[in-house]
Amino acid sequence: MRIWLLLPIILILAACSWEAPELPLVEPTPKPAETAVTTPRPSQINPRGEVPETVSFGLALPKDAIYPIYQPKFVLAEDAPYQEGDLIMGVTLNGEAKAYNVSVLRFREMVNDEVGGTPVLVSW
Amino acid sequence: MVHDRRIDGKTHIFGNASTLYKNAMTWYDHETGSIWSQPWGRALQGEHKGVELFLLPFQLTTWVNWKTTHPHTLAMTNDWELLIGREGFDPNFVIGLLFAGNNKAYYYGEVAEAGVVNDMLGEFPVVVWAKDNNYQAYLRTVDDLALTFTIQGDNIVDEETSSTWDLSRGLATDGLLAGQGLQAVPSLSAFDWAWTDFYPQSTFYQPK
Repeated sequence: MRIWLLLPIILILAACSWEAPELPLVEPTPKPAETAVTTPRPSQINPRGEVPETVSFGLALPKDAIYPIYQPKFVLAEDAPYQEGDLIMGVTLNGEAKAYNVSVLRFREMVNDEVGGTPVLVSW
Repeated sequence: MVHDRRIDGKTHIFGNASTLYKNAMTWYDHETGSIWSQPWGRALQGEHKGVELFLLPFQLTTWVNWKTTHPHTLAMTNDWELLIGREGFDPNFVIGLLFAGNNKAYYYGEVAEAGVVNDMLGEFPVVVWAKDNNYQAYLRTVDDLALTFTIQGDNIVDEETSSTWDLSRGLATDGLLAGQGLQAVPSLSAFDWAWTDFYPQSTFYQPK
């Protein structure tokens, strides 16, 4: 029974994270909404934490006080200003690979992006 | 961490809620204003309360390692001109695996010392690999066969088929399984105390 419930997650992860490093870079092909991941909601199968009835937060600054990256810009690896020892977060989905320098993520914290046609939120 | 931004098929845009929950970052989504916990990827308040985003695998490593294994990679350049300090690889963290309701933490240093760790994450056989400021975690099954990885000289092979593997990419490079790939397991890197705050029931890998 359990494996049945897990199957959608396994299939989605399998579809999303298969990497083909030898492929040439291709333009991501956005999928129409109909083919996007739909129900069941992951929270019903795989909760990572129990959300309490009421949640109290600490002192709040204005939203986006640390301004997220909403429009990421990219260059090819050979044009990247990165140094070899720089810490990066690397994401690869559907044959597309992207690197995010952690030194920038440290002061922007969030990137709304798309990798291999999948909309992703990269956060540090 | 990397999450899929779709909820019931609809892409959402996330901003910084600029407050803390359990001493960690919170987000808001532009569509409903719900407040989310970053380490859980789960909404705490608002219309989406209780919804959890799909967690996706990523790699935390150095630029030289990444561009060697992913020569066609793109590199984000936003705010590059503002950068002052440079972040290097600090080995004092745990690799926290999160998969199908199971979680377990592995000290990077202990995995790097062992080279490769064959373990169970709940009912799932997993392998955790770490070397030279690089790490990855995968399900160590191909079809129904559970593989046991071992270090032989400069190579990593599986005991079952003697195939050679590149675990930085999760690919079999030689032998019977050449061309076969492993499914990456989503993970996050954190200090052990921060991991325990969010996953208090988590176990820690104990080297034998």
